Amino acid sequence: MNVTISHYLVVSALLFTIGAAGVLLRRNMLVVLMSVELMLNAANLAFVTFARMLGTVDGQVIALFVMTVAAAEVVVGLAIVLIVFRTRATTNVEDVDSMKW
Amino acid sequence: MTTLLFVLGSLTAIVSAMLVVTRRNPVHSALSLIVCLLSVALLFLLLGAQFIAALQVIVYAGAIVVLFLFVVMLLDVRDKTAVFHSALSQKLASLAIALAVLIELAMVATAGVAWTRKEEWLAATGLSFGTAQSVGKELFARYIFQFEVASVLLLVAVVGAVALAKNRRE
Repeated sequence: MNVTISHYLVVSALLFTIGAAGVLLRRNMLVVLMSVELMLNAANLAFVTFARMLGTVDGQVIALFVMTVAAAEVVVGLAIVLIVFRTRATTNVEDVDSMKW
Repeated sequence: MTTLLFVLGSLTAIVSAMLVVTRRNPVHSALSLIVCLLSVALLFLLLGAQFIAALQVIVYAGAIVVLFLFVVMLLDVRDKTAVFHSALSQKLASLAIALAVLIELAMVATAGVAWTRKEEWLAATGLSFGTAQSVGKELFARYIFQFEVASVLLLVAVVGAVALAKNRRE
């Protein structure tokens, strides 16, 4: 078997799907954030695959920026989870509904 | 050899990603996340992106997951009753949406490649492809503005996290 671009893209698609399913299915906020990380990582894999396909490093630079955004997102997200736990003593997404109409 | 490593890396990544989503205990999820990120780093290496692979290990597995573990331990969540959403309709809808995403992405992955180029790797990538030097040259030449924006973003994230998590009770 010869490994081609499509194989990497399919792996990326599977990882993204698992992450999306995690975001939609899980109730624990921490695990939802972890699933978001999975999705960002799958996007990174696609970027690096395309960089390899085109023979330029532009995709890898974009992957670097995605990592930066992921780090920023996790820091702020975890801070919010901490506050919610401090005020409501829960990490369940279904309990955080005061802004729900 | 490359094929074997690819199969190994991708299978480990997918299985550990499933473990992240399905484990009851958040600590187990975080540990599976490390395994998944490391195996994706292996895929990065196979794609010739050495610098990104190193960053993946240092930034993701080293910093982000440790942060997750810190918060999981700090919160000490006791309610282990419900893992998934309670309503069956929500579960079904979630799975349907995820499946639709998968089908869409698989179509792009299989059909879109023929549109860009034949299914073969560009031969002349050279030894310096994906090293810290080549990525850095591109980063500090053509992407310098985006680089500065990213640094401001990180600063904003740090300030935001401190402002959010600060204990306001005097």
